[in-house]
Amino acid sequence: MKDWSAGSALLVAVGVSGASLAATFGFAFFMQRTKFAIQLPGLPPSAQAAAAPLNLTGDAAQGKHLFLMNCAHCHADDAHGDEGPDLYDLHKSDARIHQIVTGGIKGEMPSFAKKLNNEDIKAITAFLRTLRS
Amino acid sequence: MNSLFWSRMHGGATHFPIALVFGAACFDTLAFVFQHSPKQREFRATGYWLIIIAALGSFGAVFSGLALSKWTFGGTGLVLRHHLFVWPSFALIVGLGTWRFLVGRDISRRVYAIYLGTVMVACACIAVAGFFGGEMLLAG
Repeated sequence: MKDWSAGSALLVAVGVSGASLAATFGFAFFMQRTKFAIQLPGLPPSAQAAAAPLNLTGDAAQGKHLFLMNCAHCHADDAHGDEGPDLYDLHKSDARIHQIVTGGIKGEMPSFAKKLNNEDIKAITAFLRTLRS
Repeated sequence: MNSLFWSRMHGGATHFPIALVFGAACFDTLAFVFQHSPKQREFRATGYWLIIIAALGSFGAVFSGLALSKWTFGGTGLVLRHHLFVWPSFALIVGLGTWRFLVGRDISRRVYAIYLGTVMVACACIAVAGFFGGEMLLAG
């Protein structure tokens, strides 16, 4: 391997790096788009496509933004659940939602007490109240 | 093979190459700084193998991460922020590992400095990607 000059090795390295990225994206795209993706349990296609368009204002709009930033990676972008449960048609009180968000659920959901203040949780709750199936 | 399985796999698979890249950066820095030390060749050799193994290990980290995110390479919110730093990190680690493998251990000091600078950039990208990854799991 010592025959390679730094310059020519750089060209090959950039090529290998680019090819690795392209192959990775291609593989991920293939897994998303083909039936093969749903043959693996627990690996449904991206939930993004199912995100329902909502015209939200005020707290609910802010809540949606906060939801996408903090909650969507477990509850899915459309809030229909993924690793975490479906959040449509919640029957929990505002106080209980606040308690779960700040306290978390042991072994299942982390606490967001340090990250989200009362106003944030109020906004997220307002967004959750708009989720009706 | 549910999300919890992939979450644990990703946790294990990512920290392996992360530690190797940071280890490579440390040993290569030692080799660069202590250029007249009798240990310099050993430091270089260690950095050489660590970055190559890290490049190989990064494929497992990326595969488990993609499976965890349902083969999404973009996403929204924290997932998107995580991915914005993961892909440059992955490209850099693979590129650095390939380059180092091809040129071998004995390189000029100037080229070595450029290589070391690029490894530091990769470490910074990994650190930010890891921060957002941790934010998802631990919520700050």
